[in-house]
Amino acid sequence: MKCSQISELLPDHIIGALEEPQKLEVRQHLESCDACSKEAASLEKIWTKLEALPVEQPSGAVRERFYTMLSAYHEGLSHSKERPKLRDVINGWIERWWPSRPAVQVGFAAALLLIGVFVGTRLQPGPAGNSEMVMLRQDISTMRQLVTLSLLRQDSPSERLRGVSFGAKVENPNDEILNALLSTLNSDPNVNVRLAAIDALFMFSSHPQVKSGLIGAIAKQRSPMIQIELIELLVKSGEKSVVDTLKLLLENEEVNPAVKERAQWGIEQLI
Amino acid sequence: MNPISDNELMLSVREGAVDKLGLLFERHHVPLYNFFLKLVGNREISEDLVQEVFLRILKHRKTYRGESKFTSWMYQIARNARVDYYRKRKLEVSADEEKMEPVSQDPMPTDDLETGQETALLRTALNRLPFKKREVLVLSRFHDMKYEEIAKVLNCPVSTVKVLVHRAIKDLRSIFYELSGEKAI
Repeated sequence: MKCSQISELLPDHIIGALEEPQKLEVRQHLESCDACSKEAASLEKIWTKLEALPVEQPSGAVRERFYTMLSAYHEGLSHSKERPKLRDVINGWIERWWPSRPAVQVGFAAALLLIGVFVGTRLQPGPAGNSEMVMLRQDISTMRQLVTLSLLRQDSPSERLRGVSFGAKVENPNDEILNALLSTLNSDPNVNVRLAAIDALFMFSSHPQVKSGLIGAIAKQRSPMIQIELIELLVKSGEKSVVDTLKLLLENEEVNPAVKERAQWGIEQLI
Repeated sequence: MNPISDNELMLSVREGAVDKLGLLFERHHVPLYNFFLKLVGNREISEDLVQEVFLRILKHRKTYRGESKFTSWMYQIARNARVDYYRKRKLEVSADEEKMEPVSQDPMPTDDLETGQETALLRTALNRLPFKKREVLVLSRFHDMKYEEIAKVLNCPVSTVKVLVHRAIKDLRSIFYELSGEKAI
């Protein structure tokens, strides 16, 4: 093959799209032709460089929106299946009971109207319409809890961060979620994940276990940044029960001076 | 034990087991997001488009025939979703996609100082490729698609894809070395 023919095949050669016998021919040509082999190397270089472009991760919102959509769709689907059945039942019922003579039809309709008005004035509107919404919300909440728990167990800090932000959005989180967030705060190796866990937990600080967990975390943390963040948030929310913990910090010699300073400030604010 | 194939999952979704779409989402949403990101260059739009694709899969699940790969079908939907997105927002000034550049080039958080410069340069070079070439290059390089598969996604002859990929690699090389000031050979 001539160089011009080889040149046509070079892109396929570098991306691995060539089949025998062309593959062999190109290889043999490149061994003997300096110009073509330089051209091949140069194309290969740019092809290889593209590998350096990293795989980007979308934000956690994508997953959240997807599962919300899926459960909403699921819900809609099961309802649309029920509807035709109901209609068939009603149609069948009317066919069986509807009188065939016009005069009787009029009387029957008037009687139905009277019954309708009577029943309508007696009945209070029930909560039936709301219960579906409540169930849908519960489904979404359960789904969020499951996703949170699985994300918090991931090896990658960014996945765990997403887990924390997911957890913050759960309405009425169960104990499992709260404990998972507390254990993230106490033992996650990554500071950013722990900081995010503080923010998430403060959303649920009305739960007694969360409050005591946040207070208990101050002494357990090794990072001054986390300790200061905890002190500030607890003090700003007027949590007086934190004072004892702050006093213990002041007495502890191992505690970072900046943390002690903040603890002193906290005590002054709360007393 | 082999995991359930995409095709089997999508066939069950078609038959009404819509929950199975969750598994397909977990397998494909990150590559799909990166596909959009390389074509539109904007994180938020890419995330919206990922959502749109899975919504369309759900809505049109009955049209899935399972004859070709699930990913070919998914990327066909992805391409249509992108076109419709811009059509709706009238961002496409002309129908000539050849000239379309990404709407913005967000800095990517993964760029650190050492590798950042070359990565940024590559990204700029890729974004300067005319749209069709960029699209085939992305599918070929980052989604490991063979010419035949790309041709299915684009609904065009394999020979067209082949020519586009060839030109894309050569053009990318010229743009990259022009930007970096290095010599190609």
